[in-house]
Amino acid sequence: MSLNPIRLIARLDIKSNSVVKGINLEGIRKVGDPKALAKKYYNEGIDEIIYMDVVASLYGRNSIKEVIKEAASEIFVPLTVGGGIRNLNDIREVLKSGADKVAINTEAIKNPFFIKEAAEAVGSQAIVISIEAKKNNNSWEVYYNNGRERSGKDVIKWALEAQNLGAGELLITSIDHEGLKKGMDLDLLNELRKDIAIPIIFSGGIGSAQDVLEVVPKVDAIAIASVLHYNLIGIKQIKQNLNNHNITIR
Amino acid sequence: MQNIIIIDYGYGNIYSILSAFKVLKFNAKVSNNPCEIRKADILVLPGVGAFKSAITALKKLHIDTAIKEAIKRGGYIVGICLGFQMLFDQSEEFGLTKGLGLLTGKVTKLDNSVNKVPNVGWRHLIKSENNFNKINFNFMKLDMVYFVHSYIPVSSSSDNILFYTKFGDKLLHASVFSKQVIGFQFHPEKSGPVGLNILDTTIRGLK
Repeated sequence: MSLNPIRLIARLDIKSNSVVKGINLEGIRKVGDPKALAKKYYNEGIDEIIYMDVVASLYGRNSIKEVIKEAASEIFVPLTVGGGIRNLNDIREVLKSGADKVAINTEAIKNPFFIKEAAEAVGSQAIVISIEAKKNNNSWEVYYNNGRERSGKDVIKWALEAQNLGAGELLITSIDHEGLKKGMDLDLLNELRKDIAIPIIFSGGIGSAQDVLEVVPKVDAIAIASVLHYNLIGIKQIKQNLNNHNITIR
Repeated sequence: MQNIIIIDYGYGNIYSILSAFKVLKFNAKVSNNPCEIRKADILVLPGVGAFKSAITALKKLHIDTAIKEAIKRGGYIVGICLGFQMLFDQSEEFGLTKGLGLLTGKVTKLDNSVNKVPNVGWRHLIKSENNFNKINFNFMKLDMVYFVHSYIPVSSSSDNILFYTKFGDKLLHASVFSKQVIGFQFHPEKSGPVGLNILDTTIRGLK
């Protein structure tokens, strides 16, 4: 295996047309405008953008399409969109609006076969399976609805199942580390790496350029939110730090 | 004024490609009408998804023959990602499936013992030794571009390779240019300013 350049992804959680941010997926507050923030990160050299509609999976609204369209008309890096994707029609609508990939969580848990169906319809490359992981004793349990509900599934087993059903990538969010800015869940990442052959986007906990450096050799992509939204560190700074340590970046 | 048509057959990221053309100030039209496609000066064939269903959709809309007629009339075609793959003779995705046959070679599965598949992310482009009169990328600083694919065309001739890219220690045919047919495995419309520059240079070269 050769080392591919790490992908740095800005994760923008969306609620009612605002970017929001919480801690451990709770207590969200508004931090900015979806298009303005995405444009800023694009200009600073972000490799990808994830829009996660944090309420669509609860209320069944799909207002995020307009947000995607606006972003895709000016931002020329890959866009992944998640939240409330329930059927093939939802996937097609989101892709048609300018997204390149969809992130699916709740619906895949309810009906794992949907992963296969989706991958066959639009190709594995467009299907990201989003998994919210929370530690229980010595294993991690799959949560959904933005960390509100437990599924009873084991994260490692579910990740493997999603891979085998045709997922193109996995977006793994550590609920325990999310929003705390104290580093990522390396134990979870190490466990995942044993079984998973498809690219992993790891999310939750980045608080410094050093935190990024620590996970880089183990992961394909890192999703970053708080530190970017609160202007604590910049994308250029993160990339410069990686570059200083001879890590290949874009 | 050249007549540029982005072919919409249900398997492309039309919105992103159209947005890129708008930013580059090319007047492109989206169409699935064979009569319009036949008369185009430059065709753009996008594509994401599976080879077989995409080529079936093209045929169902009679776009395959319209593309060939456009080429016969002296038009150009630019294939992107799956659109690039479909320009070749055949693909081994889901058994052997025939492609448009505008480029000679075969689309093959990436070897997952070499590197992760799907191959997702930003990769360097390597210019080939070949020189093309119409499109000259020599002046351009080539930064990384975005790839997302599980299959890759293998061109029968090395004379028409425009760019290579590395997959593990292997060299892939990332872009091919033969007479009126040009294709990119990567997504220039998703590769930031560098990708837009490649698209701009290509379309200007063909005009």
